[in-house]
Amino acid sequence: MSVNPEIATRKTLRYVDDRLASASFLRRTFNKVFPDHWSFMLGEIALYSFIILILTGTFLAFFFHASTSELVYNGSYVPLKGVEMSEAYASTLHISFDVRAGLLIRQIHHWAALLFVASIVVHLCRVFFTGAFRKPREINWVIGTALLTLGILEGFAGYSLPDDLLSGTGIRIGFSVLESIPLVGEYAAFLLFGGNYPGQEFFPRLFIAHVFLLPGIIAGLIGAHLMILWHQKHTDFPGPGKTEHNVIGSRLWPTYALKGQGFFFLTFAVLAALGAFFQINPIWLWGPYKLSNVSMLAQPDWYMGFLEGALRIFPNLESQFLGVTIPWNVFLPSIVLPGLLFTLLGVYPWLEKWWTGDKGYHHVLDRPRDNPTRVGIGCMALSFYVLLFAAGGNDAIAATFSLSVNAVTWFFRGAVFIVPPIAFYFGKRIALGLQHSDRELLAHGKETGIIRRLPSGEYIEITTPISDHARAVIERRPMIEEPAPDTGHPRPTRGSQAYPRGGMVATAQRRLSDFFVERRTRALPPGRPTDGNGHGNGHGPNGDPDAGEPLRNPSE
Amino acid sequence: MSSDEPRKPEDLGNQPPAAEEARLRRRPVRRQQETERHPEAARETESQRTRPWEEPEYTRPSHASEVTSEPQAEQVDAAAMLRAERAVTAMFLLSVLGTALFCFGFVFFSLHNSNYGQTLNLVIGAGLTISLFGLGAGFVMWAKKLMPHEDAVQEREPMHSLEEEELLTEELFLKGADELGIPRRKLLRRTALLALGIFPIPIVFALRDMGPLPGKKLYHSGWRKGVRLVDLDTQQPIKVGDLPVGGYATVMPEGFGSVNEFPTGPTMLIRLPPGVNQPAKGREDWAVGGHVAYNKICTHAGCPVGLYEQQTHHLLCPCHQSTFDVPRACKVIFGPAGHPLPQLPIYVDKDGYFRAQSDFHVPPGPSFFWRKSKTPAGEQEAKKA
Repeated sequence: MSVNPEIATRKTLRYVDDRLASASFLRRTFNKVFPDHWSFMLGEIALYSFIILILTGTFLAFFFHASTSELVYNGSYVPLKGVEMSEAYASTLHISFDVRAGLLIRQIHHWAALLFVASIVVHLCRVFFTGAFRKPREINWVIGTALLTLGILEGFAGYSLPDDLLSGTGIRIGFSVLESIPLVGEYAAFLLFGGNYPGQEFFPRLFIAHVFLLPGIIAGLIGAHLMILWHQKHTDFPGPGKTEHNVIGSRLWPTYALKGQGFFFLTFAVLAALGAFFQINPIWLWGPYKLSNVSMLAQPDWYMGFLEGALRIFPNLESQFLGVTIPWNVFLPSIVLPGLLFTLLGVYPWLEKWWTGDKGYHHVLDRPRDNPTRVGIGCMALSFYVLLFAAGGNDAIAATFSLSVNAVTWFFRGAVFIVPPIAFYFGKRIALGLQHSDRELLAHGKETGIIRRLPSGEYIEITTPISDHARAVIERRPMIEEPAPDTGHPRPTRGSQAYPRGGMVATAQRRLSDFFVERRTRALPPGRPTDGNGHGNGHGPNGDPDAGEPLRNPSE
Repeated sequence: MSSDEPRKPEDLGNQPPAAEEARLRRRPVRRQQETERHPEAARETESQRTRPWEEPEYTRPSHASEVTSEPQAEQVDAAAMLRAERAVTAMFLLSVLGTALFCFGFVFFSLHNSNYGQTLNLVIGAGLTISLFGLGAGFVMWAKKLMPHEDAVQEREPMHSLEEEELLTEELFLKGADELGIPRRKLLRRTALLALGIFPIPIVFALRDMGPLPGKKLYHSGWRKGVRLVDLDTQQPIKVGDLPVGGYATVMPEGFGSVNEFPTGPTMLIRLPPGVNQPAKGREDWAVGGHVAYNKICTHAGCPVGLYEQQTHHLLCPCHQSTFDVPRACKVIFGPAGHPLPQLPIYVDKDGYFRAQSDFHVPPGPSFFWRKSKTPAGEQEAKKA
């Protein structure tokens, strides 16, 4: 008996459609168009890492015991035989040495966690620098910020579970951080830990948070993130034929589905290779956690590094007054600072909207250079983050380069204030410079390196016109003065009344707006002749003043 | 709702449903398709279905959708296609080999051997990597090399509804709220808010048993008057002469049981060279012959202050590099710690064993909001003085 695959497929589809009336939905789904760009796959890496985390984590949960009950180890790892340790640590050793593929899965799980947060951060940078967070995608930006925060918490919880010497130290610091919260700190810490540190209750609680509560919330938010993305359709870079009203790319079925599936396997393959060939967190070398012991050069997983750095370089401020103590040295760097950073990150779309006055829809992405001030802000934030991260390894830096750890710490204490403004300036200048070079390209074409001598004795350089694609990309540069794309019907915007005169808020907004908007290169007038060799074009006494310096704020 | 609401389109709600539906029609194309399908919806059994694809004159419709796609006029190079097909096939076969390697790894390598199954981990890891890589590369190459490149164009629908639809929804919602009388029934509204507002308060009581209140727990380290200092690891009491000059030991009160019971108990007993210690005022008799005892739990974030520098007599916390100057009452000389490590007053009994004079006088461990500057033991001493 042979089955005709075509008939079978049709029958299956009809069977489903007869029950769900799904044909129209499915057709739209198959036809959904995804634009092609490598940077659009960064978020996919995060999604695939999460799936791999769920798969490998489920396997680990079969064998892991979240308990701090003490026992004497009697597994197959000889150096620790007879050592007293917690059940959690012993079961992690069991996974690593006595479960088939246990070590491989554990290492893949750990690498996937690192990749999960890393890909979220890189994806966030892509979305930030290309302005993909602008209307109508602000909600997804906030969800993304929440996912980053939860991803870091989830990673910290997982990292703490094996109860080895390193991770136990992390929990101890966590308890102190809770204690440092004014008014409620010690009560919160005692309730969460079920008593004084270390307590018996905390590990089962941490485990249920790690395997159920946090992943559940993360999965829900990822679902919302994807559904919104699906509904709003993906943004795209400028290019020929691309407008605010269309998406150009390949359809879900079959091309994109095939590519996506392949990309999932490739991500998994990279993580499997990492798990197989690159040892991570060899907990049997750290030994079981004892609260009186600690190891040198203790560092958390990378995503906690910026908090660790903030804790390390913060000055030793502690206030005692009216019978109470406020440990600023812990509370500010580990509670207030991350709270502030993630809040600023989450509200950034509205901040930018506030100072640009740009309320329009944007489906076509900026190239980073299109918004130099945003590039500057991004560089500023990233440099601050990277410095805090590096400060988290001040002892490692000091040891590697034979420096005084005090000098390294003082360096970071200064650098976190000095470097970010410099990064802002250079980020902005580089973006403006790139705009400038775009103008040159448009006006003169590409340099070929060939110099030709004319019969008159004059020398000119031969240039070739740039491609249609490059031209479309450059000419599309959005101007802030450009009216917002037609949205179909008039919507309540602040429009001409956006910046009423007078009032402190309005003045501040106007000033910020000037700062943010003015220093852009003016777009070229349309239909400008480009003769291809630059001859007499912007050079000599009859040159075109327009081709020269970028438009500057006259006040500067 | 206020009566001067200008946008309230009373007439919209009163129109016949058909007109309203026409007004709400957003995606004309899809609506049309649905009406075309409508007669089919009336059929009741599957046997009544037609099978148009079995008719001889049936031709597949070009993909009917909002998407337009113009396959690019590419020269289809048959030889290149064949090569690509072979390459993809090779990838899938590679994946099969990888899967086989994963399985046979368990046959040929043991988990329990001299290198603790590291070889097995490498072999099955390589197998899994190859298996996944073959699948992934195969799929991606299939999509990239064997599929015609297309630039499908899809129109974006505006990310907002037609204004009439927005208005209708607003009106519907506001009408419902009006029927509920939320704006009108002030008392109802307020009591409802009150009831909902205090509803979560019982959670606080329900969660109360998550843990005990701190009470005095953060003030007690387990040390008390007369208790001997025992080595944390060997549990042996420490005698004068056990420590060489410059030596140190982590000590606990004798009979402590588990260190987890006394998380701020671990204490560093350090033997300073003669004449180095500069005791603080009122602490002149807290040290014995160069032996000083300081709490080991960092006053910053609670890590054990585990590094003792013999030459400089500094205690360094490896977590955040707080540095304490041992001869000068463990004053903070660098790093983020906010206050010195508490000192344990010690003495030597007639048998030569170290004993504690009392508990710490200031609370050990990191700071917290309601922290008092003295422990009960410290207050007693202050009264005596």
